[in-house]
Amino acid sequence: MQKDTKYKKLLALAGGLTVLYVEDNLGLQKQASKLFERFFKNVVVANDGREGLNLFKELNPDIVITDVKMPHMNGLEMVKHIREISLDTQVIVTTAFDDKENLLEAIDVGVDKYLKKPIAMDVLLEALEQISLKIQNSKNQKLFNHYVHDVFEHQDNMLILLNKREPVIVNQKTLDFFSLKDFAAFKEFFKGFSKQLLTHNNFLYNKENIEWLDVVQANVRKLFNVKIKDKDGENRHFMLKAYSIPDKDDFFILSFDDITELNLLAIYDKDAISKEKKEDEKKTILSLLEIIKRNQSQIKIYNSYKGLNISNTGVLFRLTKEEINIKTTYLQQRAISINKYCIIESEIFPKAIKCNLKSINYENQQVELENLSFVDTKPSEQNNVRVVPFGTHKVSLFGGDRRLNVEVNILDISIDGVSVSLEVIPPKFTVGNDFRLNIVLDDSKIPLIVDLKAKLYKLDEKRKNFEAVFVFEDKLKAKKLLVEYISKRQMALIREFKGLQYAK
Amino acid sequence: MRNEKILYDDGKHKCVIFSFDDDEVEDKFLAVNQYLIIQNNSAVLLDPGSRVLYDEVYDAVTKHIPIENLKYIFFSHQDPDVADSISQWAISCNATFIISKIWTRFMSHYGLMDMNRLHSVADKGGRVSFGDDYLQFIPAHFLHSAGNFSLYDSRSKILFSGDIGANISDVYGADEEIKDFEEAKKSLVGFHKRYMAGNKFCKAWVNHVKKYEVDMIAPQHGVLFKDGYAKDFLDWFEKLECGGDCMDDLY
Repeated sequence: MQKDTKYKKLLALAGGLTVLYVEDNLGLQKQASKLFERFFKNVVVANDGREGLNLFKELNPDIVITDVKMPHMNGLEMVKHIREISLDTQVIVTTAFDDKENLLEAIDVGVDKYLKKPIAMDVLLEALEQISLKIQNSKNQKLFNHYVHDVFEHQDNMLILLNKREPVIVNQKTLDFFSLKDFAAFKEFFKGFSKQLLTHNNFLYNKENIEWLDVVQANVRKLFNVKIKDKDGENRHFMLKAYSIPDKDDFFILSFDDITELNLLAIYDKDAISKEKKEDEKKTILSLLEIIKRNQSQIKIYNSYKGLNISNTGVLFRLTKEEINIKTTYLQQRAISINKYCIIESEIFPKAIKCNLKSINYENQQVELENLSFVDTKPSEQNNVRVVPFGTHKVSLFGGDRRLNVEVNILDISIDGVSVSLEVIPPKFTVGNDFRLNIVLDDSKIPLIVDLKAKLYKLDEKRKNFEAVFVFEDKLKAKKLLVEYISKRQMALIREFKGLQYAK
Repeated sequence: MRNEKILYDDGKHKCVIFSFDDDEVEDKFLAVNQYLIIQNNSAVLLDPGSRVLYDEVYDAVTKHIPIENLKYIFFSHQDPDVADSISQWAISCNATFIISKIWTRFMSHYGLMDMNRLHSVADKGGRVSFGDDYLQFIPAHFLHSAGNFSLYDSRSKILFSGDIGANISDVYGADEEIKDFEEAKKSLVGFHKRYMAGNKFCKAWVNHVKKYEVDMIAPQHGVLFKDGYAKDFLDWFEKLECGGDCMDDLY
């Protein structure tokens, strides 16, 4: 029964294989051939090593079974020549000799099995089964490799075939993405692959005690978001999925599908995106400033004091990745010192740049600035002079004929409009609606009273209150009064600023 | 009162004089003139004057162009009767202010801290071109201000001379002009002898001016020099002994 099972198994494995049997003992040759023919489709017979080698060259059999001692060319010498042609062929040596020298030589020439004559049937069948299984596995592996390679190279995704944690195959798309020359380079690169998976909210990357590959392999067919920088430094968003392979427990395919164009990165992690934007912005700012410095161009420096613009030109004379040093007038240095920052402009800047104060050296007229970032409004494009009013002022807000019961405080005022803060928002207080403002500015012996139609231009919710900007509709009526008021207030602010300036 | 007159208008380019009574000297008038040059939709205002006159000048300018079309305001020098209204103009329009570089640092005294609204002119002068036409800033330093420019308009051929040519007149009005140069000299000599720094400067300025074809001299004070009187004035001014040439009168 057990024998039958073995027969069947061998028959299934060996059916398609070709055997070359080399034996100078014709009786044994005939007997053994009959046995082999029961299992193998093609059995070829040779009488000595020379004949055997010739037949091998002609037929390229899967298995060679040979005697050792034969005329013209002995079995081991024949195997030596066969090995020069093929390493895959399975070789079984049968011999009546029981000496170590032959055994060592057999090992040396690359024999797969060494059987001692007379050969017991069980032993022979066992050896043939093992050999046939080995051949079948190797053929499957070749087929598999060929198939996988074919599949891999016809995919748009990046694909990595892993045996446990080791890469076995990687497609060209992956090599191109990471700018790697070949598979050997990728194997080395993959050792530090966790560094490629960047931190992003709800994305997969190495965290404390969590190894990304463990997570992926434990969750086959689950989709993971990952973020990887490409060779140009751009962040790409991939969907990562691991596939298992049927009957290959240790094998996984990792598939990376690039979905950056869907613009989902910001949805997952606004903070990370804004951090990246800041980094990009920093690079742009540095390049722009590098041009300014190289050309020794002047920059325009802006500050404000209670709404009043204070500006001068300056020269950039030192630039590092983190900070810049500028020279400017004493007046401007004082303004920077009061504001703790300044805004710089140049014709070549797409936007104005805000710089925080790091230090000032008054003696050398030098200001050190840091934390540079673009700001959306250019001070040079500010259309009007604004001032923060002095002391008490009163604003009554009217919607239609009705006075709205809300406290309004002026933040700053210009001839074109007024910026105010409100504790609460009255009904119908929406941008575009018309209102009337009655403003009393108690800044001198004779208070300024203006009554103006105004359109609500902008409304922002702040942490504790609301800020609104009204644009005056009929400004001509009150324009001269406002010009006079702002002009006086401006002079007062200049006096105040200069007082601070000299006070240091 | 005649406060305004068109000095030149060819349909594309226009020069207007505004004149407001500043002070009466006994029975004579010292007019303060402001000029507006308009080409297409852009305008340049010259020497807008003191803050006392701001309202009148603003109204006069906005009769000709919307205030947002006022692109430049030129100050020939830093005197209060020229530049004192800078704070009001800074508030009411977006124009760039043009002035000698030596006066920019004083602008905060007139209420301007936003130095990037200034375009400072270097000593040798400069030119603003628009198509084939241009405005030339001609150095007029020490005549009388240490940093001083006249402005030549190539299209109208008017030389806006600032304090040079300032005159007290028996008459008052924007359309008045010199009718008798020998008579006019009497009112010119006192001011120019005292306020101009010396003949060397007068000669240098006249040499510069003579490079251009001048049909009219329009000073900041007084009446206009038209036709041959412009040349009469230049010839007279070139030879004038003044300022440092007359030290004995002063010390």
